[in-house]
Amino acid sequence: MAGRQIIEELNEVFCDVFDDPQIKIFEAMTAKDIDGWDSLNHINLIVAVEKRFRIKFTTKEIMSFENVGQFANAVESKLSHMAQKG
Amino acid sequence: MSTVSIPLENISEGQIFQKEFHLNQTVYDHFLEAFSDNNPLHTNDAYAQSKGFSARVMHGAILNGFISHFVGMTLPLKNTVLHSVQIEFKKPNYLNDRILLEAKVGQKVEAVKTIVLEIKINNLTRDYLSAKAKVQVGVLK
Repeated sequence: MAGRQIIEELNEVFCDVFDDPQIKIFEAMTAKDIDGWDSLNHINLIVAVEKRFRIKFTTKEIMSFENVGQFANAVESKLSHMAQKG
Repeated sequence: MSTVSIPLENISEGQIFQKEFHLNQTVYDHFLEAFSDNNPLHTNDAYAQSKGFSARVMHGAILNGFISHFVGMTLPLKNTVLHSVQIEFKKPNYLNDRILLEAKVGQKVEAVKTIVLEIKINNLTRDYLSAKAKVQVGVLK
């Protein structure tokens, strides 16, 4: 799974979006593991993550994530590409 | 509804849309009739003046109605849906004031067909900022 700092920041976003400070994300986590992860909060999550990390996803990427681990890895990958581009 | 409709792809972050509204007797009367918020601050000039206002204060929630109209009818996007409205009331509006709603596209999230608008609601009659709002809008397929 992605690095610790990204996981911590992503966890903060999850807590904020789902209004639950107790959330601890994990690699295999899916929507079934969080109360209130419906279609609207799914949109809210993507909006919040794009803003927090200043990255952009495509619809295809969003559709491909099977769990939070893959989502976190995609965040890390995009940040890494941005850092390489300077 | 806006006569111009453009796809979300053609909307850019930083783009600004605006519309002027008139907070007239009809709007005020219909709001009172629909929601029965007859608090004297909103219905009694003498009472409102005793609390330091110029006259009866228009309900802040009327601005939410203007935002709803703006998102559903003014934005040049089809099939919009309000996800959320976070509004801060700064200064009061009074009967017959003219209101300018100015919305800047603060964030566009194409992956989930959503934009976040940073809205300033200016009272043109009194030349001040009446409210600020952050509004998330989705575009249905």
